Amino acid sequence: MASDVEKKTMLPNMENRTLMARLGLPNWDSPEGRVWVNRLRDNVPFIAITLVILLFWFISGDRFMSVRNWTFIAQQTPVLLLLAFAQLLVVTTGSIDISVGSNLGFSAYMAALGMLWFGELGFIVGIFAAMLIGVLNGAIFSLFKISSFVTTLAMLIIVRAVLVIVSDGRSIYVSDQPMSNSNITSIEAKWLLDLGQFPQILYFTVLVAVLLWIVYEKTVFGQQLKALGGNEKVLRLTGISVNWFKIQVFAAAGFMVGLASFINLARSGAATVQAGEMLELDAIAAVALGGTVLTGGYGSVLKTVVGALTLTIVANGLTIAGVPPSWSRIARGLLLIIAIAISLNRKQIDVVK
Amino acid sequence: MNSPAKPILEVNSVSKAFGGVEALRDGSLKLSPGEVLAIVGANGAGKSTLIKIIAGVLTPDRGDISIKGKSIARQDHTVGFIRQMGVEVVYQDLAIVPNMTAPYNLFLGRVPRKFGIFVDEKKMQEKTREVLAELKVETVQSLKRPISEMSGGQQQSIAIGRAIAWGKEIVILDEPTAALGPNETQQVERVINEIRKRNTATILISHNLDQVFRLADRLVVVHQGNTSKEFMRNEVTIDELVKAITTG
Amino acid sequence: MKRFFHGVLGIMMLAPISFAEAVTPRKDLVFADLGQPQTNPWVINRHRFQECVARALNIEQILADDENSESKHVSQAESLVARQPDAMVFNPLTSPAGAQVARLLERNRIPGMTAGRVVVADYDKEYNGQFLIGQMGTNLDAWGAAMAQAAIDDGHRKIAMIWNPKDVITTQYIWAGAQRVIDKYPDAEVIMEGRDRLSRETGIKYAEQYVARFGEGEIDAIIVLGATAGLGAQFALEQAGRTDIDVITCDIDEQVAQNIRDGKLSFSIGGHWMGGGFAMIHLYDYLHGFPIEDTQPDFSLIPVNASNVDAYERQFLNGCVLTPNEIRNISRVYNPDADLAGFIENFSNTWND
Repeated sequence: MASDVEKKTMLPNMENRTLMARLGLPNWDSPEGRVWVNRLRDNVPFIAITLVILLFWFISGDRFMSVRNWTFIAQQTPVLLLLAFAQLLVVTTGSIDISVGSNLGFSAYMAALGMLWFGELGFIVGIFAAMLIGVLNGAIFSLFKISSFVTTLAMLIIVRAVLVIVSDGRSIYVSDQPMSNSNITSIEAKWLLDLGQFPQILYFTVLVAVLLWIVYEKTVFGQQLKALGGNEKVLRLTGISVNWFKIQVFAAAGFMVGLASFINLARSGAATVQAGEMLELDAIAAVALGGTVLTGGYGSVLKTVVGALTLTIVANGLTIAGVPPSWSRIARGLLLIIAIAISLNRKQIDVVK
Repeated sequence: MNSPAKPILEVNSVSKAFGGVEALRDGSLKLSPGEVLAIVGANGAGKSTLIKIIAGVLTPDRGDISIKGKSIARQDHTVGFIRQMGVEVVYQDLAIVPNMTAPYNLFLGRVPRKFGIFVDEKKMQEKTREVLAELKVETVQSLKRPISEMSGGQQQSIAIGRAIAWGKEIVILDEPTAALGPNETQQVERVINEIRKRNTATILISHNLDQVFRLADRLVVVHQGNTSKEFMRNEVTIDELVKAITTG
Repeated sequence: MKRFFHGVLGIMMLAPISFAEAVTPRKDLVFADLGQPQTNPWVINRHRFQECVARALNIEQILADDENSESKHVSQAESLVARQPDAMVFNPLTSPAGAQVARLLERNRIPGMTAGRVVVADYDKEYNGQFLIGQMGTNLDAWGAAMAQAAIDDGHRKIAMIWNPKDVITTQYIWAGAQRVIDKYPDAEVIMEGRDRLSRETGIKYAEQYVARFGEGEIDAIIVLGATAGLGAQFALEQAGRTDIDVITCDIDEQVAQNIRDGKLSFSIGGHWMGGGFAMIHLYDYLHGFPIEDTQPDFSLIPVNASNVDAYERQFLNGCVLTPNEIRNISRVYNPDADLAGFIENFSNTWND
């Protein structure tokens, strides 16, 4: 009986041992092997981005690997990255927020309106608007016990509609000089347009990323995010007000969306009705590409940066390489599948007891 | 370790019915500091109802419990209040946040702070080493890795450690080793013996009668909703106990 | 022949009304309108002009939009039919969706007309029903051709584009017109295609990628579908300091007009949104017993450059394009000699006279 069991478990191990030994690698089923596999998985986002960069460098040469192009990549990543940060906060707790794209469009418009009404500091109206949407998301989700997917799906629809009503479809432009045409709604703010350009946009984003890293890794709030994603029931038993905490999480995500919308306003030089459409999917994709499991409990700010950067580089690289648009979309879709496959594997490894 | 004069927990003839079915008719017991009391009984005998009343999850229909000599009023009979009084339950599988570190799990809900918002990692790790040493739990894994990478026995030890680390005087262990292998069970049993030395009172619910005999000082049998019999461990044989469980 | 048959049929059906009441204008008409959401400037313009027509002819309108979804296009049409309007104007999201709406109209005996896109390519040859009385189309091929011709006439030969994905059929027809013109010039070529959901942000993104891909002299112009993305592309080029690249776009709002005046944009083309109002007039006449004369009138868009931008802005961007009297004057209910088909055909040439 015992020898039967032994045979069954020993045989594959023997095979693996020879295979792995031949490759000079430790047996994957041994404790050291598991550590080794885990370490490899941990580094998949970094390996992926390196491969992607090398691939496009090889295909497009200096057109891709030029200062000019990397300046554009630095300008194209921040909005997506800040939205991915918002998503990271929510996904870590095991929920999802698909309203971030609509919220971005709405709060960018509110920021522009705020600047029209109150002058330059009026952009804060946009940040508050984004947080308000976040608080509403969190409150509906936690108090009415409607799943975050459904709650934020409803919010995605409602917020975009509110934006259409508030704006009546008209754009608000940001300009660096006074506008002569009184039919055009515009705000004069050169500093804002400058913020949307390299290098300011990069400094701003790096600053936000560092602050978020501190919050995510070093604060009680950050730890609770992961704990909530890990085992909500236990967290409830310890006397933490989980409902209130969830509202805080969505408000924090809203704040991040507010920053993203502010940067979007700066970068695109206008608040339009379509801003942020479908960006929620890119934000989720960036988080997944960063190796964060969508079921919650784990996550990394640094890897989310790598995920957003990878997504931007792939879109940029495919265009520069002259890949036809539909094929480019297929490539991006496949990339996403691979990323999620990786995160699922990771989950299995980590939860095995 | 016979019961001293002053019990830390008294359960006085509590009963509970669910929709006309009496799950518990008359549950009574006393518990002293430093004592390990095992509650045994067949499935459906009323064990878990009794435990849930002690933990505050259920309010008894009749009867009451008193902790440290203080009777718990009906309106105070809640999980939160009873926890404050020093009662902690360690469940078979609910007690751990698997993706977090051992120190975090030990400090769950009480994470020490620096400057109001930051986690005091150093303090958490020191205290964790202290508790692990006290419970004689050896770990090879880094305290910075998720607790799910530890063995089941180590995980359960941390859960028990959390209960006692914060001065809980009564720890209820609900099937603490049901999900564990033999070696890990041994480890948890060692921890239970260690907490006895700290003068913490323990209630153990277990289906494993060998384990009950190894650990408990005293045994209470629940049969058809009544705490029908009580034995000192050294005054009863397994056969007598089995008879008591099956026939009352 | 079909046209004649239709006319006879229309007279026969409506004979009692038309003879009894002669041509006393009805004031109780309710028109349903189904189109796309107001996230596009031209949809807003379409509604604005229809409102002018509705006021001039005492028509009450019920508006609905399809949220850019085929299935919602049909279900919204059903909801509108349930309210039993006298007529329906709709802009089919796709031909299949439009065909379903046409069947719905036939079953419920509600006269309708498309505005913008079409249900069948050739109404007289391919359509067998009675209640879809015609298709108020836009000359898509001429539209694209005009954009490409403007680029060619400005001396541009290396042309990139930013367009909708190929599954948006109508915009494929527009591009076909542009491609036809470019193919006529052997030295002209489309050096890169960018296809995506169009917004200011995607306009910026693709323009930046083209700038990274092509140095000076390697690209002359970018043809961008829609002013929202077009302005984004132009903004990106300005920020990147690439004044060597021209942007050709379509749709004219205040900002586009201003940029044309400032010499930042050389050309745009617009006015296709007037089709909805013209469809209403067709249906209005039909309900008063006048058979439709041209079942598939094509509206030619109005090209705008520095020479006529002021006139365009004066006439098209402020209030109604046509006064109530002008509107009534092209309806046979008010003017027995009205020539609606001729008016539509010639409007792009005569508007500025």
